[in-house]
Amino acid sequence: MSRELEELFPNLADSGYEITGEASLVYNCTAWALGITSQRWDCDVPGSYWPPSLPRDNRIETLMRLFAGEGFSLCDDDSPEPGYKKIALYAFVGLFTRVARQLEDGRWTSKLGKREVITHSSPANLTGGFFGNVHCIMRRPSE
Amino acid sequence: MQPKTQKTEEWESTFNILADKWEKETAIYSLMAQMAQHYAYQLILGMGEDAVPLIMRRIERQGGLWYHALETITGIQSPAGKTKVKTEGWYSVDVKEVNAAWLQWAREQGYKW
Repeated sequence: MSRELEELFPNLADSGYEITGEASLVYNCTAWALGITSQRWDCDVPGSYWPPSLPRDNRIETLMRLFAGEGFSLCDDDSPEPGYKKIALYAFVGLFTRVARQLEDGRWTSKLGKREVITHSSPANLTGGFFGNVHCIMRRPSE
Repeated sequence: MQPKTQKTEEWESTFNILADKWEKETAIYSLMAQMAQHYAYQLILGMGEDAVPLIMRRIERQGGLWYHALETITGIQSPAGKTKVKTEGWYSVDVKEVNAAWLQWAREQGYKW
């Protein structure tokens, strides 16, 4: 539990969240949503990866294209579905802010920038303020 | 090229407050594009060339993602630009190499910090 994180995310405090991974500069939430911990997926950081066909910006449409390129498509809701992995994309005024990934038990996992990985009960736990709201839920078949 | 001493002290204090604020408040941001939209970062860009030696001192002490600000302020591509070409989406250099190239460039340009 972290008071600092709870101040940044007002809806996190009473969610029963856990810190489940150490802070790291090596990967970010975009990589983590894809299960990657060896590389950042970022449009403008040396040493990171960004699909060459995408514009180098953080418009939510760009990130939706990024995940579509990784096999994700839009779906109706964030309830667990056997055979699918789901992600929640967040946006504020049309700009991507973060992405969370659903775990097999139905909870969600998020890498908070260069800070820790947390497990939380719902995508709504990370909404509010400049971090915006859940823009869409996407899913792809489990491997 | 160097700001006057009095201005340097005042601006260094301001720069450090802004840089600390930027690094702390963007620690939970996901993408560099988000970090660059933070108001403290924009104020640092507004310091113009006076910020260059201050950024160099910070890079030397603690690293950080300052190459984008340096490109914007100086108007030149990264000194590591020759090797910053993306291959199939991957950058061929990392942040440490880019920072080292900027430090070398600043020394060659006569910046003191």
